Amino acid sequence: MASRVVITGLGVVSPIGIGVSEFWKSALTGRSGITAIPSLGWFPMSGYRSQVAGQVHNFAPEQYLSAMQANRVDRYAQFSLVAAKEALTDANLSMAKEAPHRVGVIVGAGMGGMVMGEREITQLFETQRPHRVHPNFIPTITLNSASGIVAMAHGAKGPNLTISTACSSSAHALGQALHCIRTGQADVVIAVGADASITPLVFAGFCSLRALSSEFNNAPEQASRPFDRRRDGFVMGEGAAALIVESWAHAKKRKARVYAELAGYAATSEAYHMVIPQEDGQEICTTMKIGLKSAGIGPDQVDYINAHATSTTIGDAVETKAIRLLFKNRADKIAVNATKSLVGHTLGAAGAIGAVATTLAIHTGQIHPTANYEEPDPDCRLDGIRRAVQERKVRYALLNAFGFGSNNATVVFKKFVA
Amino acid sequence: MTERINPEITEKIVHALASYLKRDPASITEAHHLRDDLGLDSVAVIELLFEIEERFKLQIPDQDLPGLSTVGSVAAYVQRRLAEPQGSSKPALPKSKTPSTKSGSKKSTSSRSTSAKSSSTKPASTKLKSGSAKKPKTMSKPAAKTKKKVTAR
Repeated sequence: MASRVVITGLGVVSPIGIGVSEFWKSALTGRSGITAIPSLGWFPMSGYRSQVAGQVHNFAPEQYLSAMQANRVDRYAQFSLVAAKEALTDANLSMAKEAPHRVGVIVGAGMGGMVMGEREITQLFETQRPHRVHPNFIPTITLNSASGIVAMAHGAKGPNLTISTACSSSAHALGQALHCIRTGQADVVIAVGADASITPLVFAGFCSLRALSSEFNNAPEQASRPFDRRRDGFVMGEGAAALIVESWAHAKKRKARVYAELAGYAATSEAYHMVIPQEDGQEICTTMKIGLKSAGIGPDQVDYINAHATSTTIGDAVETKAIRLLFKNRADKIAVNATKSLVGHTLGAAGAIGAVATTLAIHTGQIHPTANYEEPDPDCRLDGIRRAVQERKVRYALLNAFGFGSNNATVVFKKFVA
Repeated sequence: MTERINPEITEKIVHALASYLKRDPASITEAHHLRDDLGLDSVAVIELLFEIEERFKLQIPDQDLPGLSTVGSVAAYVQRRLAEPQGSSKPALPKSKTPSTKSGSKKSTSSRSTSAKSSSTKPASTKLKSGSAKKPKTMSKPAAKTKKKVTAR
């Protein structure tokens, strides 16, 4: 029997709130955090097809971080630091009492330090003055800057990894944290997901890919509408979330409060297409099935799915198809929601933010609404999707995350019973 | 779809396609379906339109994508858009506004060829599902209710 792994701390930086309590309070209202973006800093957005995003407003790094820490890393890593700090505090985990090499950090990030990246590249090409490229450019854009700085902030000397599988990055971070503890490499893993790349170039790239919503520029709060008939693409978001993942034995010893148990994980590749999921839903179905198997349960035991559901036309329909394939006539009995309806698609942070929502659903028995689910699309019809809070005892829950590069992940959560 | 299309427009589109697909322009006709006959998946269609936007100095709104299913429908669409008075739809913006695109726009066009290669060898596996069923007559109206079936994850 594999060792049990539990979640004991949570932290969030999101477009609907910095800090778990603000995030969750807002999530339960079902209010969207998507707003208009007339400009990105000084950079005008009028030429962009999509002009809405889920930004983290009023984020003042100095409020949470020392000037030295804040200056050394990009926005996504600042988010990581803030979320990790909150999660550690929430878990009541004092690093002074831990063996440093038994605490790991695994971060999922899709884009990394694009704020500085774009600024420095633009400046170099414009001025052709190579000696004016910032000395901190390389350490900042190196994709493991967040996992590095989080470890440094807390003296966590165990496994330190960064997983970059686009939009599924932090679901894998969580899954790998589970493996890391089950295989005895660590007692505790700070699992983080983070991205902050609502930047002129990245935003333009997603626009060119025709992946973003462009029909709701005048009604931003309606733009992210997973499963709804009028959805027309995802809305870019930014943020971070952190989960303290530890062995049950370790949590018990330090009398930690447990939110939920991490019960299983599946990692697959569709080996199919860079950006399009296999349309019959078979691959996603298989991913969920492997996840259930790794948790040692069957489809009849799942009460809730935190769907990947980005609000793209194909993506939501294929995920629905996969849920029907796997759960058959039980599909309509499962509560399903889309955290992206509230915060947009936070890319590398999406899995971790969804994981916080899933953990809290299990812990509190409340499943947050799916915003803008007004007119069910026949291609995505599932009775368990609601615009209101669903009160429900959840024993097992799934978190889905799918990334560019044909990458899929499912994480299985379980109600914790000692 | 019986309107007469300026052969120059069709020719430009066929040439864009031919260079994208690395095949003889003479083997591509107006009747060819981008997905079913030429093997473009939805991302390849987007790449083609990206090229066409550049060649004709147009901006094609997301909402117009569903109607663009055959070579002929793309040509008819381009013709209609070019005939529009300036500013009736989104006119092509001057490309050199932003500092970062100044040196980048040319380069990005040529860098497409790597992905073009791979998509040309692939069978038509993806769709513009509901789009292909829609009649192209709604194309120039951005308010068309059709869904864009494009990138997904």
